Amino acid sequence: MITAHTVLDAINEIGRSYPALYRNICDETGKTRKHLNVFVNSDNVRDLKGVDTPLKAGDLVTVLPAVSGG
Amino acid sequence: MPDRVILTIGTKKGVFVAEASKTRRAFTLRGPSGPGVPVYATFIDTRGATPRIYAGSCNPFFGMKVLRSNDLGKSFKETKSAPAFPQDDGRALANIWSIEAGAGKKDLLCGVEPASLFKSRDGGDTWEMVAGISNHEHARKWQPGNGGLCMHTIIRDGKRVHLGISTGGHYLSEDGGETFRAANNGVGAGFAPDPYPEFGQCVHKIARHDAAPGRLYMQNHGGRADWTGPGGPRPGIGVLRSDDYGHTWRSIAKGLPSDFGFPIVVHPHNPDVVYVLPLDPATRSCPGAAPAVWRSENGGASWGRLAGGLPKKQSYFTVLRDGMDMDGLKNPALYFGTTTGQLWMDREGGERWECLFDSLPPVHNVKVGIV
Repeated sequence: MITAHTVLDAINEIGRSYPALYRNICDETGKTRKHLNVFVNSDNVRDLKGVDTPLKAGDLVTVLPAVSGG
Repeated sequence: MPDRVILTIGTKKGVFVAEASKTRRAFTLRGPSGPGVPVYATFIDTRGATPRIYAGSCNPFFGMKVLRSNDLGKSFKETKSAPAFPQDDGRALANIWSIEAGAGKKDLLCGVEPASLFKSRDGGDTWEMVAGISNHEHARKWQPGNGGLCMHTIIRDGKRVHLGISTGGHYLSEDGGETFRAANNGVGAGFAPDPYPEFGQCVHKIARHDAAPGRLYMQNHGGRADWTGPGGPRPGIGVLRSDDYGHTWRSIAKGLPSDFGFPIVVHPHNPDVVYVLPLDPATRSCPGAAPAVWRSENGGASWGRLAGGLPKKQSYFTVLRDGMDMDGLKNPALYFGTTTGQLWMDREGGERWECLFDSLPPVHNVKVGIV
């Protein structure tokens, strides 16, 4: 459970609380890794406002690897 | 008394470790570790009382990791951190291409993509960027080759440090790695109007031997003998030698079926003996679909074909820049791994090959150590 107003707030909170996990989600420039997708509930944030997508109480943020590779 | 031969095999699907007694009659295979994740760089560190194996695990989803094993590859763990650019640099690590020993007992050097150099003083737990090359005035002008913008070769020679960058060229430090300058006099480029630019060459691999101070061998991006556009043909630019610590280079490609290839390996006991694996420049696979290692026993003055035991036809693999190595036993064996997942070994100077493993994932990297 994280208190955050946006997806970016949530990711940054992960960075403070779980730095090893953060490095898996974001590169050293602070950008979300390009083969990861971030969802708020069922919606990909790329279809919303990206990492600036606002969060409200009870929203579920999910980070999943993209379907790619071989 | 060394009694085990250890092979690290970096593949598209993780790192494998093969072990044999020094007779090399039978290898046992373990792995993959870091399964499913490409490994382009491995390093067998025999400097301490306990040998260590390092592998660069290049996860396209979750980023780059350095893996370390203290039990000869039975298990690997992530080091506490991997190389990373400073946050305000703007670059992000895209791949780990080389891991080598640094000057101190626990020092490591790591070449990455985008081409930059990192140093660790604690066996890979913390890393700092080496500004002299990573922030070199040329660095933002280097261009990625087909494999990416990679720093793939790191050679230490006292106060000298040689770096190979694709595509950047050969860079030389003579002050222990503080400052670097491009040293590509005689190194051709086949993909630019100027055949001999100051920098920007697509160097594929560089090798040297302690017993021949000043001598270096280079496998460069050749295959441009027939070019008829601006700048004209560039025959023989693919296989080169330097006798002055890399300040100038000359072709030693005469006699080879192709001057295109990726790895170049020097015999551990004789600096005049050098091995390459020529490839067709258009397909990057074996010329005539018949693979062969070529050996020079006179420092590149002439070459001979070594294909005993290798397929004679219908063979289309590629051997990548770090896919060939030679052990340091009294009668050393040569090894290479293929993009079709085979690992070949020869115990007779390259004249009788046998396939150790035939169904690995595509092989990026083969290193051998005696422990």
